[in-house]
Amino acid sequence: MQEYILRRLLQAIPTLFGITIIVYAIMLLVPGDPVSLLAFDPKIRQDERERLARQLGVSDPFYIQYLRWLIGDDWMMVDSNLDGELDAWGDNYGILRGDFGTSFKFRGSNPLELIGERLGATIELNTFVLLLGTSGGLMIGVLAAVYRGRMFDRATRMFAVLGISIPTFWLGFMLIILFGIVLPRFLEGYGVGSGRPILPMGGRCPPVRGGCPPIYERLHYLILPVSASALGGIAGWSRFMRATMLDTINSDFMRTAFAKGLPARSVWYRHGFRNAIAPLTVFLGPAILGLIGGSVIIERIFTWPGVGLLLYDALLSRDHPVIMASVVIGSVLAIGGLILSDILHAIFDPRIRY
Amino acid sequence: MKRVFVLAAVLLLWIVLPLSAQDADEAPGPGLGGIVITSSTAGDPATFNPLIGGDTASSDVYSWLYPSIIGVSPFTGLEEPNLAGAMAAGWEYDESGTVLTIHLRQDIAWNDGTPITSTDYLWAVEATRSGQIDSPRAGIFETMADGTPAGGNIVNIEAPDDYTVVVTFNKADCISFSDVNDVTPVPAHVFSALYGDDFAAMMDEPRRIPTVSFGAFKDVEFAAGERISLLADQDYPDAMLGFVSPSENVTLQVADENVATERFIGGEFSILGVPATRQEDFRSDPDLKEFPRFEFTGNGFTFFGMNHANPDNPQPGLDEDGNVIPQEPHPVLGDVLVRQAISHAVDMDALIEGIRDGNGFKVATHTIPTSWVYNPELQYEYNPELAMEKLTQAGWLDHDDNPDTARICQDCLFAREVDAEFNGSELTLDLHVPAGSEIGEQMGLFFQAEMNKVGFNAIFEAIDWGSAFLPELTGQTFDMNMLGWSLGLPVDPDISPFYYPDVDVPGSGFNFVSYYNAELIELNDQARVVPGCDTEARAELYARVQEILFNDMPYFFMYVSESMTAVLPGTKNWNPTPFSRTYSTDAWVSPAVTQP
Repeated sequence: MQEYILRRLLQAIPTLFGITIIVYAIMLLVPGDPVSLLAFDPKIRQDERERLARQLGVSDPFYIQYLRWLIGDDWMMVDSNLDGELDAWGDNYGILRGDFGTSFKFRGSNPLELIGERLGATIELNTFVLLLGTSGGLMIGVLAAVYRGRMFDRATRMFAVLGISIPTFWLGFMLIILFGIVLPRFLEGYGVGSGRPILPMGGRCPPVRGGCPPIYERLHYLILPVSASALGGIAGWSRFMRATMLDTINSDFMRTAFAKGLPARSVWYRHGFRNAIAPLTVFLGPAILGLIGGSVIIERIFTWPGVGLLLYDALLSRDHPVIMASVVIGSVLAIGGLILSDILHAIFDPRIRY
Repeated sequence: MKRVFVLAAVLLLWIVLPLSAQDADEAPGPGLGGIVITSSTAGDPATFNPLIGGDTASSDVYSWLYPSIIGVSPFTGLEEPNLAGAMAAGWEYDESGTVLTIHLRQDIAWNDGTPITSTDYLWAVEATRSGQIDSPRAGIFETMADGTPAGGNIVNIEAPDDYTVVVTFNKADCISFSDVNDVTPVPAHVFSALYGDDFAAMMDEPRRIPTVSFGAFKDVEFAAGERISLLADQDYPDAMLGFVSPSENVTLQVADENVATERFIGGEFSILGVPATRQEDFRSDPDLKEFPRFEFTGNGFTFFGMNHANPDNPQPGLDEDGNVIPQEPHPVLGDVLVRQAISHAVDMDALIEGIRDGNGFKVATHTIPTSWVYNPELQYEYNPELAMEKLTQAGWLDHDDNPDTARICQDCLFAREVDAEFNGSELTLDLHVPAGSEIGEQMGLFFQAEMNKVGFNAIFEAIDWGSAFLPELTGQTFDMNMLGWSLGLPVDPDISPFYYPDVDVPGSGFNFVSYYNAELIELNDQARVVPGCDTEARAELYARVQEILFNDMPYFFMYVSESMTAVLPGTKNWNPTPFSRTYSTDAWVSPAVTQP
């Protein structure tokens, strides 16, 4: 196993380089440039825009820009005072030496710091979404398999279709209106409550000074975004779980367990569930590492301050250093997630050997 | 009778006194007016330092923390002396119009007690001019500190004493006055202690929290992607009521306009710029009518830029020696008759009523209704017959007597002047709007339908702003692209940023329509050097400027937004004007919900 992991890690190195070259090339090939976007202001003169382009290094050819990003520019002469003359050694070290550069949009800010200051919010939201999605989905899936063909099974099938089909942005928006405006006003009409929102309509923390309280004091901020985001997960996991559970039901060992006279509950949940869950672990690795990836739609609708919106904005504003930092992090996580999947699969399924 | 009179007087007093008391007690006291919560779609601020900031999100924060040198009145939209939050007590020009002396107020101080003086402004000027920092404002100076040309009109700024600033301009120029305001004064005693002469060090800590400020609010607390909170500064001497009423001023990031609207209706925000699509709801919906609202004409306009030059061969407006380069005309829009035909083909009243719910003020030049040069008589005439007549006159003929098919060129301008083989070509144009705006897309479709009725083959498409719209706009490879300009304050009718040949630069210039009219430039140049910048004299010149723009049509000027701002029911001391809806924030009492 150790040898396998080492081999996979070594294979990951050229993969990572390949990804960065391809993404960097695509980023520069896409029409539009960061200077036009940052300086789209008639008051900014032409020579100032040219100066900004030199400062950001975006007027250099692709290979120079990529090399500077990768290995820095302390090996080459640069135009330090932006007068058009190469007059000093560069002072960037490149990502291979841990220097991710500075954001184009948030000048002077390190891309890793920008991502880092939003990572907590993303992990927090996605953890709850994953927990609710998997636990809810697995539970519903098992019960649907146990009560196959009955009302509960049919209801969950309909729920799954709805859960997968309803667009997250629409659901989120409806939840905001329902719990923020419609229900409070309805209740107020009957003398209950003050007409104020029942649940926060957005945000992660109370909108007042004092930082963010501990999570147990603001769980109500999670209810709407987690519900909107987890619905698709619950639906998806429940269908997977039902299918694998039904596969397991027809296995010999299940028949044997029933024939031995074991209680049905024990057969279903101790023997059936444990074996049915093994194939799902393939998805669990990427899902756990996906906790770090943001969700643009949910973050946008619920004003959740995660990395999704940061990266979306970076793409729109052609903030190359932030985009590339996220690509590197994303690639490392994706590769790590796949390796973790393999490991988990081996743990849950004793037939797997590497 | 006497008793009745006394009784009536007592009764009257009983009724009136509480009312008077209520009027005087519009804010309960310092910091007792609740929390002002606003939403912003501008994203996180890049910096809290006004010397290196250029983005809207940053200026939204530091405008609360630092004074301006010259204030702009929320009532007139013009620069005036002795305004709250500004340093200038008065100013005068010398006879040549090139030396501006600004006298500063002597009654204001930073919140650590240090008087605000000319030194604070000069430190900011020196840093901006040093070339060591990324400042979008360095272009106001003629040269940088090392003598490198910077292209602006300000030759020098000095301070003969603590309360006088003298600005020397290269030439008298009415629009240079507002350049003085581009540099924001900072507390020199704090900044020089932090950075000394190493101005570049400011770039290393863009989000350093200001410790000393001047404004109704202070003490930034920043949560990335989430909120910016400022606390009331009860030491602020310019507070409208003598104290700052709200305890806190919070800006929450809300990326989605629809979500912001619903959260406002739910009571989570104090104030909302109501989107055009919801304005009618706020006027007529019984639940929303109760929200106090203010409707005003905006200070920007929306237009379709009409490319005058051949998009297949974009050329700069000037050669290396500064001579005007004659542009090869656009195959269709190069002819003024075609541009005028479009102005007659599109029913702007129907567009404003049908698509914008009436929330738009039709314009036909570059000025807005609140401007001192606005001429209401200049209006495009909707007349499809006249449009077709002009197309025929321009050599675009209806070859099959069917207005639904595209006309073809028969001795049109391009065939006459550039390429005779162009004869027989269809009257085809691409109409592009930035994707993402439902209203924008509807307006594009409307233009397409209206133009096609008179014989165009207009092809509408909504395209991505960053990767498609902007590259073709600045690259000058478009036909007709829709855009809007926000004019800022004070609004000046100067046209140099948009229609001069030196800003006709494929790839980045803002005269992306490649428009050139020597008379227009001559008139604008004259208007900029009118002695004393007398508005009446300038208005006369700009009357002709507007006529030229109206006839030449570099843009199809469409409308100025009729905007609406609403606040929560129960808000007190909200005194909006067309020029500012928030200048009285320090007096507000806001009932925004902070915790469900």
